[in-house]
Amino acid sequence: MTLIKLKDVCYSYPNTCGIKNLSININKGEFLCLMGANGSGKSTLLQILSGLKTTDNGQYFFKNSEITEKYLSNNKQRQKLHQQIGMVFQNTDVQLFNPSVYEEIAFGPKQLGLSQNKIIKRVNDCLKLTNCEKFRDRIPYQLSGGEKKRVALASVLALNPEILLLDEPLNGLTISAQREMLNLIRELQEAGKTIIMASHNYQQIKDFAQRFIIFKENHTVDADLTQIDIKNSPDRQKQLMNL
Amino acid sequence: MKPNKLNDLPDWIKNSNYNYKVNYRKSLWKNNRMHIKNLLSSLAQPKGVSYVHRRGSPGVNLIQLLISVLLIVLIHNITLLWIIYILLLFKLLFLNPQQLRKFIKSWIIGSIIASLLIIPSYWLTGISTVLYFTIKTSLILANAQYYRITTPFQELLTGLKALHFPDMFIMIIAISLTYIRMLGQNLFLNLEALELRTVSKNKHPYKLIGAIFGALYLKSCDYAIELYAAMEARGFNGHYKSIKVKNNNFKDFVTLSPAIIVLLLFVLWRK
Repeated sequence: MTLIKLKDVCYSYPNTCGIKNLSININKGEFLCLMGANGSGKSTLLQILSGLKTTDNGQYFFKNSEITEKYLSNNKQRQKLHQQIGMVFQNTDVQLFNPSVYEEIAFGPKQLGLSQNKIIKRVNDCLKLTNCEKFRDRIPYQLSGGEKKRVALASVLALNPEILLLDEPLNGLTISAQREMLNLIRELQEAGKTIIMASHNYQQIKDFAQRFIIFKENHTVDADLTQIDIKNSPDRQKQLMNL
Repeated sequence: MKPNKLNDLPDWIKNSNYNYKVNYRKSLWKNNRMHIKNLLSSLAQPKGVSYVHRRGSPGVNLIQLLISVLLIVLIHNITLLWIIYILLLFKLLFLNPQQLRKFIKSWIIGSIIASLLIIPSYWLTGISTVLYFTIKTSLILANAQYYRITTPFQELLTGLKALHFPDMFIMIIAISLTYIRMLGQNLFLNLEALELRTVSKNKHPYKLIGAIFGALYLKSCDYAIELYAAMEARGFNGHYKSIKVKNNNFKDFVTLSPAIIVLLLFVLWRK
């Protein structure tokens, strides 16, 4: 089932190009990795998918509804979209603003009209899944970079979105924390979530992601390949290792 | 890195149910979010400035602005005010259409806001004072706006240096403006993140504003400390050396002459 459909999408910043003529379909339950050099358009694509930016040209369909400026100007439609698409920012500092880790994670569920017991359960589950139990009462601002990443993921997970957009989620994590996070992401995918992750480290994710979209430096898509395609192509592997 | 089984996911995560009983009521913030985001976006990434031909050196341009503003404030003669208006219109001839459009837009908005502030004086002093001050204020705004759209930030600093402002003062201005942009960018991203996680009407929006500004304050403190440490690491010892300024040439004096003539008229012209 196709969840996301992008048709000739273009996006430009005031002085530079963000994305040029991007056309892809993303199916439900996929683990998709966006790869490319810095500034090639990975983060811009994630922002378009999340509804933070709208396309200059081309069309973006989410569950057959076209996401446009007009669509997003409707509060109900926009908030419904945000319920279904969660995003972890590259700079997680800007994502954390509550006085404690517990409240940070409870921020989303509190708005969903859930009972108090359900909120507590959700928050505790998220703390456990992301291994944040140790610092549940600490101020998010004072956590280390890796801990902030985990709290940011927990706070997005608590909303139980159907699609998870992860912008370089492994940066700043230790090898063991990277493995834990990737395992969690893979499990979420197995549970039916669609994962779209931006990364430039092929080595980290080569055994986890099923599909790779590789961006060129000119902001267009170079290739759309499966894990097996890449494993069968030493040249492509070499290219991705050198990103 | 190979995958291995680690967690057992809770049931609620395995179900995709989005039929929550949430309140989608409109709020002031939601209705104006695009305006606030655009404002912060332009604060964080100001649009580029294009040079205007036939302008003088940075120092002369700054002197010209200062003389104009000073004259507008001091002048009580309406003819001289008109002369300043005409001089400004002459300078506007050299702007390209895009710059001119930008100038007119922000000038009109600024003048309307200034007029609104002046209007209450109508009940105290009558219509003539209101009109007089409106003309003066809009003229000051027009000059300032012209300088803003034709002067890059670096040129302002060079201008200050040419006028022998203390180096420390120039450094403080340079850092403050960069700093404001950085904080604007941070606040913009904060609001984007908040928007993504705001999936219904928030019960305590004011608490949230406090939390965001609190986080911004902490960030600004950290940034200030890091910035100073980085400056020290690069050899900063409390003395800021800015770029050396070139001597003025004939073109600079020609550029400055209209302002000087109006200044002389102001001093010498007695009714």
